[in-house]
Amino acid sequence: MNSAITYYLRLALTNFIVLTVLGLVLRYMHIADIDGVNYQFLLHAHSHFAFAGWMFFAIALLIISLIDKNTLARSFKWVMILALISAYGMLVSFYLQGYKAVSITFSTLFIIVTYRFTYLVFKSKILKNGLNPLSAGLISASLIFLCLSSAGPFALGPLMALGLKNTPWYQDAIYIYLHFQMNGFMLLAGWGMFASVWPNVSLNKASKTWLKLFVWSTAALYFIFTLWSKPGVPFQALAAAGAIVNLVSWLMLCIGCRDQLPKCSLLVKAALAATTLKCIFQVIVCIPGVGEWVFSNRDLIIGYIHLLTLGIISPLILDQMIRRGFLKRSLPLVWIYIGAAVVYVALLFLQPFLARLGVLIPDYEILLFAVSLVFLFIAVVFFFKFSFKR
Amino acid sequence: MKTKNLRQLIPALLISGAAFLYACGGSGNDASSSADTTSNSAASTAASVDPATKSDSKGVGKFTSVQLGPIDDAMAEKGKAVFTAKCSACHKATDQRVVGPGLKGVTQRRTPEWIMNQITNPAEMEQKDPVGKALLAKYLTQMTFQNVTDDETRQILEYFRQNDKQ
Repeated sequence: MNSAITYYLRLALTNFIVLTVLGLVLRYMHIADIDGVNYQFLLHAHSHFAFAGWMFFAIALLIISLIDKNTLARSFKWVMILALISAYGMLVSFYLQGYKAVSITFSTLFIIVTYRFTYLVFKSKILKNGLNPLSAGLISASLIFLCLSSAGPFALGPLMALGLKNTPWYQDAIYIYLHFQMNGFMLLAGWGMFASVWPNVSLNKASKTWLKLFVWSTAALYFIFTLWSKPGVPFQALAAAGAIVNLVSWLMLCIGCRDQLPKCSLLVKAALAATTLKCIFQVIVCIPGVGEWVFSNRDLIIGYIHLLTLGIISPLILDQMIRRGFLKRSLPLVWIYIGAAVVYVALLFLQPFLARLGVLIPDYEILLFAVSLVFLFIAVVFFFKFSFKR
Repeated sequence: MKTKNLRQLIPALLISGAAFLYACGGSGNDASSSADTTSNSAASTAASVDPATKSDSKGVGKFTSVQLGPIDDAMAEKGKAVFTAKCSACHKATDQRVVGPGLKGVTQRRTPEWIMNQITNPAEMEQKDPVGKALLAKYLTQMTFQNVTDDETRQILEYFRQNDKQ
């Protein structure tokens, strides 16, 4: 096993621990007061560090190890080092001063790192020669979305200069970033890496079409993120079309792979279920009355984001780490992880529904805090007990 | 090999440096209060309003006159339940901010009408009311109407009054 890649993967797990601590403090602030900590700054630190320090960092390493299992090329090493600097830079600067000059600089550095990574992967030719067509299709689409996501933050400056800061345009630009990072890059890359372990998948004509539709509809899903400001029927129609095609093509791809799926690990089965749920929720949200209620409900939005990150992306990352021998397999720990993710997301989704009926989940915030504590426990145990040392 | 990589790195650093300078300019405008951007609309006073201080504004919305009696504990209890179910994802009843401001002392800072209008009509309040605009500029998150009835809104107000008396 390559020692440099193992070393960086241990760094990724360290970042996962840091991330769970940040989440834990945020949850703690809902049940008790901490003087001197700005919740919103910490929230920004949490989300930016999650994107750069955990999800991008781990996914990039795993893709690199697809290209070359045995050496970490110098060019990729630079990508990882700069990604790490930008992740910790964003963590500290967002926490200390929010969205200001220093944090914007580190965010910009992160974007440049993602460009460079995309360039290096495409240059390596692995997408053409080294991977099966399903995996190559998903990973190349994920990298294109990764680069597209930066259109959002780069639009913020001009929008501010045009005096459009307090308009939906500004918020919608931020959502370009969120959507193309999570639904575009992370989700497609996660499933692309998963598909890479099948040696000889050849796509028949129908599957090729469904794969294309799945990727294109992922782009169209962005329109869902604009619906909150009631932009009108065309947007609604595009969002609904995107959501429906996304759900159907996802199910068709699953059916196309149905011989392989029963053999998957528990983590992958959890991610399959979570992706299916996510696709269904996206269709439901396009129903006008339902959408309005959902978009005004913070817990549902946070729930959706964590369904993606805790339910789909992190399980796929952990599964790859286990499958490629970077992490030891531990069924009990995997069960604890899945249990915690289910409870966390279920709490966030259920409370808003119950509130409509006038029902409160007792000790709701304390429960969310307790589950966050479980995630910290899992991250620490993975790091100390189940990751291979150099 | 090494020099080649360095050569590739230098443009990246230059671009990030340029982006840094640009972003500095952008955030400089922002720091002087994003209420500036609303000054195109008529009669903007948002820049001069500090949301932490007391305001006599009644706000914008359907509540123009709210009669207050002695604090009704039963009503406040109902208000607390509504608050926990629908507001606590963003607000605490202490003086600590989370997503939105902490609401301890809100009945001393704001009129009862303003509070009830902000709960039921937040989008318009944050576009038109000077305090509402200043709050949006400070917290950068648009508050959303949580489908509370007028009765529930009044109950939340009663809970705030009770909370501020303690």
